[in-house]
Amino acid sequence: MDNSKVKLTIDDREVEVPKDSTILEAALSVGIDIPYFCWHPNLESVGACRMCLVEVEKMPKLVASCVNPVAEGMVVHTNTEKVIKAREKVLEFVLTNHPLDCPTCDKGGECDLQDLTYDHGPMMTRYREDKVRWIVDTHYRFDDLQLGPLIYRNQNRCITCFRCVRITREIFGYSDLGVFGRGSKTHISAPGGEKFLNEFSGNTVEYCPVGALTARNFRYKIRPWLCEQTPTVCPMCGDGCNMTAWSHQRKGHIRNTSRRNDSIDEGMLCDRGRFGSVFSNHPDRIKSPMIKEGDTFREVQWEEALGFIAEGIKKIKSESGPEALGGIASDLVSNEEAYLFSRLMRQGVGTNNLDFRGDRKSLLGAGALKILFEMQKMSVPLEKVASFDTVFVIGTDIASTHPIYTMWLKRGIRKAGLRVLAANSRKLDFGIYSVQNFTYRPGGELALLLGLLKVIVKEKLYSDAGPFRGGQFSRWANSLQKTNYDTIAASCGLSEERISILARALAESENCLFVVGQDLWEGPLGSSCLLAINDLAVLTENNGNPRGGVNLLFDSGNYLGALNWGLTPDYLPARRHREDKVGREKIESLWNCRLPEAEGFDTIKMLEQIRKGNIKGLYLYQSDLLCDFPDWEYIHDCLSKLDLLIVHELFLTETAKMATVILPATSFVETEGTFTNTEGRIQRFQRGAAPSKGVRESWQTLSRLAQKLGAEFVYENPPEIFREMVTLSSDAAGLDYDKLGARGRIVALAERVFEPALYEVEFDSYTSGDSDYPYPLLTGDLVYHLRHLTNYNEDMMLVAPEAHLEISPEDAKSLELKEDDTVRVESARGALEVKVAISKKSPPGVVFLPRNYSDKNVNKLRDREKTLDYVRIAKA
Amino acid sequence: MADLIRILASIFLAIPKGLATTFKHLFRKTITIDYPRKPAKFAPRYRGLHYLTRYPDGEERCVACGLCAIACPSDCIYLEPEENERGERVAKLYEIDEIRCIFCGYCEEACPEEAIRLGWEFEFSQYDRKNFVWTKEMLLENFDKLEKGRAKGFIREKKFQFRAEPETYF
Repeated sequence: MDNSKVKLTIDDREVEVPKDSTILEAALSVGIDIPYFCWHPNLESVGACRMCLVEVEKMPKLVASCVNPVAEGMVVHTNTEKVIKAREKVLEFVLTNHPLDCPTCDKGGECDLQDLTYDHGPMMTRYREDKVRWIVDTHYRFDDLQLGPLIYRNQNRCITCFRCVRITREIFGYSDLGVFGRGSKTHISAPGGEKFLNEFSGNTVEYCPVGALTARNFRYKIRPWLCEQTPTVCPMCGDGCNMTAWSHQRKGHIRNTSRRNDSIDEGMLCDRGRFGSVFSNHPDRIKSPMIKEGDTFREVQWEEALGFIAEGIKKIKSESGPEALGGIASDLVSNEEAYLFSRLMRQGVGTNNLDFRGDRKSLLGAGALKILFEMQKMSVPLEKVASFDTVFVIGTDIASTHPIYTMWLKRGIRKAGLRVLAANSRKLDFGIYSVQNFTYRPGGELALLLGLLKVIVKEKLYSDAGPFRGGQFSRWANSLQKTNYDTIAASCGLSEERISILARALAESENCLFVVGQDLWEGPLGSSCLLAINDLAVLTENNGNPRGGVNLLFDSGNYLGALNWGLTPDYLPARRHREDKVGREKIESLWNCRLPEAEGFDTIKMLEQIRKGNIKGLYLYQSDLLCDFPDWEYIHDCLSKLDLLIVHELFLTETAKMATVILPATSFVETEGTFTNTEGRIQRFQRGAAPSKGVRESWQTLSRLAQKLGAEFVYENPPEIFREMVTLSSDAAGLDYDKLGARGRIVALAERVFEPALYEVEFDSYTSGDSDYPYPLLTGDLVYHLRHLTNYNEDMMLVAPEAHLEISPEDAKSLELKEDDTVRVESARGALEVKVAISKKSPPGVVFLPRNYSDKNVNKLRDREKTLDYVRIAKA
Repeated sequence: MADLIRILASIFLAIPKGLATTFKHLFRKTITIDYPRKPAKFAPRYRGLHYLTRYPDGEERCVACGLCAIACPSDCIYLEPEENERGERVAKLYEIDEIRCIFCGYCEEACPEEAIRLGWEFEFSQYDRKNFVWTKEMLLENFDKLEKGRAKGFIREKKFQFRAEPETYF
């Protein structure tokens, strides 16, 4: 790119800007205001609205500043009489057909057209004739058309700036919104019958300069000026997009808009974050503590409930020791709450039985976590993703799990010719942007990775200048010889030729980023896959220094924060290992206590211990184990064996119904704190809405409970917790809660020195299905849902109301199934009746069921002892 | 002696002089009214208890745009919109705290639909503060009472000519 600069004069000010910028960009960069409707910093300029006209000396006419590039010595005037008059006339033209229905328009109060007309427009209209009206249905007086489940269109109000269509197409790569007709008949519509629905559809509403597109969740709700706006961070996936939470005194949290952070989201949000994270005002929230009596719950006062819990914990502790207690938190809690929960369990209760992962069959142990922390040093920030020339996405349907990450990949494809190679057991779909799919059989991920390593070693695709040549290298290379290509091809379903195409693409690229999905590294072969990915990155010298990188994806809002701040049995807060003496002493002196010595159990081992009767009390903090754990029967059995089950939750979930005591928790808008996103960026969110009457903020509850258990917890507010916890880490110690800034801070929590190492990987593969149950069952989150949390959101339940079994067109043909047919999905464990969705994402022979529905819980089909579940399908 | 006569005259003449004024007013028209036995009369632009108007076909005019609430200097109006079965924006809640209201009339001035009006009703004292919140139903009922009064001829004042049809924006 040409970096040379150009000098020009705008309104008697000397401005120096890059050569390829436009007059509008130049003016905005120095704070000179030029009004515009159709321009947007992320989009190509089209010059549709003519609002940004400026006068350029030696040009015969006024020019649209958003499409005219700057030139050396240009003299621009933005405020002459001619320009002011032109703006007024442009607005008069825009307003000829724009209805003055601001009283009934949802955009009223935050409308660009209102604001600009107030600033620049004519105060009276001279137009007396009838306006063009776009009647949708004569029954309705307001001409609103529901374009999709979430979006309403009112064509009368449209000023044809095409921002919505351009955002959908250019940034997100979908063509499900288009411009139709011409002249006064120009209109925005969704081709194929009013089905405008993609995971980014909410952005069109936000960037519509008028009220032509409005959102269902804000339709006729409340005026924007009556709402309070609070900066917050989205917890719905690991990207950590910045949002503004809008809350109203009576209605609570009602909607979100984007809060531009150029390092993460560039002002865009996905629908799961924008609409799906509005659940705090749901009527089913738990509003007071409850104690189980018989089959019903009795509402009690806070002190009574906490006293009951403290007594129960003390009783179990005196009878069977602190090892008989355990705590499972969630990966959606803030860093402060994670730290506090860790402190409560380790200091107040005195046990290391602590975890936050409740939805996996196998978990990474302390050794694998160490490698994971080591590999994190190879990570690159999100904003740099688009600058690579190859991105290898493995083990995740990234478009569903990390929508905004996908936006950056799409930007790379559009602007810099980025090549996306995707290896997954389901196909990736980037809309109009291309992805090269290498679909492996479920369970064949490690085989594929080993195959790649073998090809690279065999064809000598690594460079010789690497730091690890010699005897060690040849030993490592020999370990690869243990598996042959036939085994690999049989396990992963990709031929040797196909694997070598991928290997060559990875090895020959200039700068390659490995994006590793959580399903891969937390899957049954997780730790081996981590090693293989590490080897691959090190061998192709894409280890982040100086080129390439490995990004491990964390799928939920604060997974990394929970990992960092001590919610695993072996790692104390700030990633201090349990056996690390220095860190241990530091924490002990800060907490003024002795930390428990015994080895702790993670979720899976804890459940085993519960089953054996060794663990009698469990504290579930916002963890919906009964719905999430991949074996319903087993978890139900375990939870009913407990003497004391404390559930600290937002909603009365299935798990909460089994509890001995229920404590109400607060959601992310009702408290303040920080989240750590998938890059390791610590970002602050603020309290946007008051919790309902009688509900204490979660950190208050945890501190009070600790006090009842005899631990000294004195915190005034979450910032104080933050200030305390950062002192534990040498890397985060300099962080100031008040100065985290608008973009947050990336904190590695480890020295950035990465020492490349090659690890020997043992080949392993899943068992295959038998003839009774031929189809491997994949499960995961839909793009519109996050676990069961979004079951409490009206919008997301409208978009994706029920579970659909996704099967490939080939399978549908052979089973003679049509879209929306009801089928019976049977596994050795149980059966479910669901509808069928034919999806091109599913490869033949593989079926997918979302895990997001508590009524059709896919975990009833799953068996925790099998690495992969197999089902059979029959027409119901 | 003369002084004495003057003093006596001033005493005895003052009574009929004063009574003359009294008697003069006895036959004049009274300024006060016999409230509460007789109804009070008001200027046409008197600002009393609010009412929410309807179209001649009985439909409410209010579109719940919220301009009255934002125009109100004492912040006594709260409203929430909703969608009716015809896709129109109507008020779900419309509450006026009359004890907080200062009867300035800004709300009727702000209203683009001629929906909220201040009437002539002033007898709405209550025993409890919370009873001073007039809901949408009560405000519409105020209008219906007024209309009934107009129909029977009790109320002659009509502040303004209402539009009979909803305004078209097109």
